[in-house]
Amino acid sequence: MELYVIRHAKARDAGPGEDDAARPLTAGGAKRFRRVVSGLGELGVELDLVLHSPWRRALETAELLGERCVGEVRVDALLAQAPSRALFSVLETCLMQGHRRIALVGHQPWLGELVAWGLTGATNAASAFHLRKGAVVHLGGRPAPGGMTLRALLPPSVPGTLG
Amino acid sequence: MQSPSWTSERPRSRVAPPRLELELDLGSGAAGGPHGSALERAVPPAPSGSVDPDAPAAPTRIDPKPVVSQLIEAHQAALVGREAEGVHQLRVACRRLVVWHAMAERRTLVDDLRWLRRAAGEVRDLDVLLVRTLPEELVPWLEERRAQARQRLQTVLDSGRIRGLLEALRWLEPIRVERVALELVRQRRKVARRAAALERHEDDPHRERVKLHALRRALRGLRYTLAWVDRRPKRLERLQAALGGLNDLEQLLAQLEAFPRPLEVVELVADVEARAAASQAACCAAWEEARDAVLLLTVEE
Repeated sequence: MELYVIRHAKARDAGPGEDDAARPLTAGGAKRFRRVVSGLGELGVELDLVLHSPWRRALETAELLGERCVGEVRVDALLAQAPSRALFSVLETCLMQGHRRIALVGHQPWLGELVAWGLTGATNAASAFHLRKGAVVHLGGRPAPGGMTLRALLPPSVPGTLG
Repeated sequence: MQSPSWTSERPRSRVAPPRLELELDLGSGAAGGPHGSALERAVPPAPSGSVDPDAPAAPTRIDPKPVVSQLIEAHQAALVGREAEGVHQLRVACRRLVVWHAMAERRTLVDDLRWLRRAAGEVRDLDVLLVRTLPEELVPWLEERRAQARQRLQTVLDSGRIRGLLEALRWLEPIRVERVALELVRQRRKVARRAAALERHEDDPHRERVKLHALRRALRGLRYTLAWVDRRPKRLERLQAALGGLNDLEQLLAQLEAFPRPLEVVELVADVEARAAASQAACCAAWEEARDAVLLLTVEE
């Protein structure tokens, strides 16, 4: 499996009393992420499936990323919480359905924990993976704790420059 | 890809009733294009009409929230296994929201809505069959199949994907009413393509039935698009009802084909086949009668 773990693009700050999940992307954040998507295209990245968090900033990021997806775009509540074995099960199921190139769009610190878990089998190294907004972590291997290898960690400026 | 426009567009003080279709060249769009059939190219624009300055202002935006609420309520009803209506409403709300997403040119959540709709549809189709008068030997078997379909639906309703869908639907915002007219043009073209295929007469009744099925689905898209502006043309509803009747018979035939003791239902299969053939002929006649009016439907009365 080729797994692209992607943090949502820059969103505006929450207003007083505003639900954190309701924050939309800023115009600049959307613009920069469009360049990331374009850059991923330059790198030959094509996706069979996009899984995204239901929070608004992830939904909007996934909408932009959809351009690179030849298959389905799915929402999953598991991406709006700390990573669990259930999330690996979802990925395993997706793999069995024939989706080999999958992008996950979600939030920090959970994505960092997921990357650490997939690479090392434990989540305690999560802080070692600093994911800026719009960053892409490319993993390969089996979707299981410790079953993955790091192929690339791209801050948004890298594909953004190509795009 | 068009960028998503999630934030509210600036409201206009007054937008003229949607006459946008008048400005669209139906013969030059991608769908109508140089390879479009004569029938597609023959779809004329709506007749122009004067605007009554004293008429109440038409709504300028299409708000998906009432349908989102309908879906959430239906989800709850289906989750606790309340009667068939909850499942029916769930499927209707999914379909309406898929059309809304097409109007909004958004891709996210569409696959999730379709997934939910399919799971609900499996139950609903069996619910519809089971209200018919059926031979006693068939009923327990169909009820068992419905129980299995309900179990699959429960798994879907309980999934993280559907929890995510219900949460994400909160972020949908109204779109401009002109989008309905644009979508209607697309849907009418689709109907015209399906109709052109149907009207290329063939001797094979099975192929004709397949084409009627495709036409029924295209007409449904048209009907759900118009429903966003509270327009429910009677002629279209009657046509849909006729095609729906044929579809119900096809659903029953499909179930009978899967029945493990086929010899017990031989007579029933023959009877349903005969009724389906009659229904098929009636649908073709109904289409012939409604065709011109349907292909001229606009968002205005």
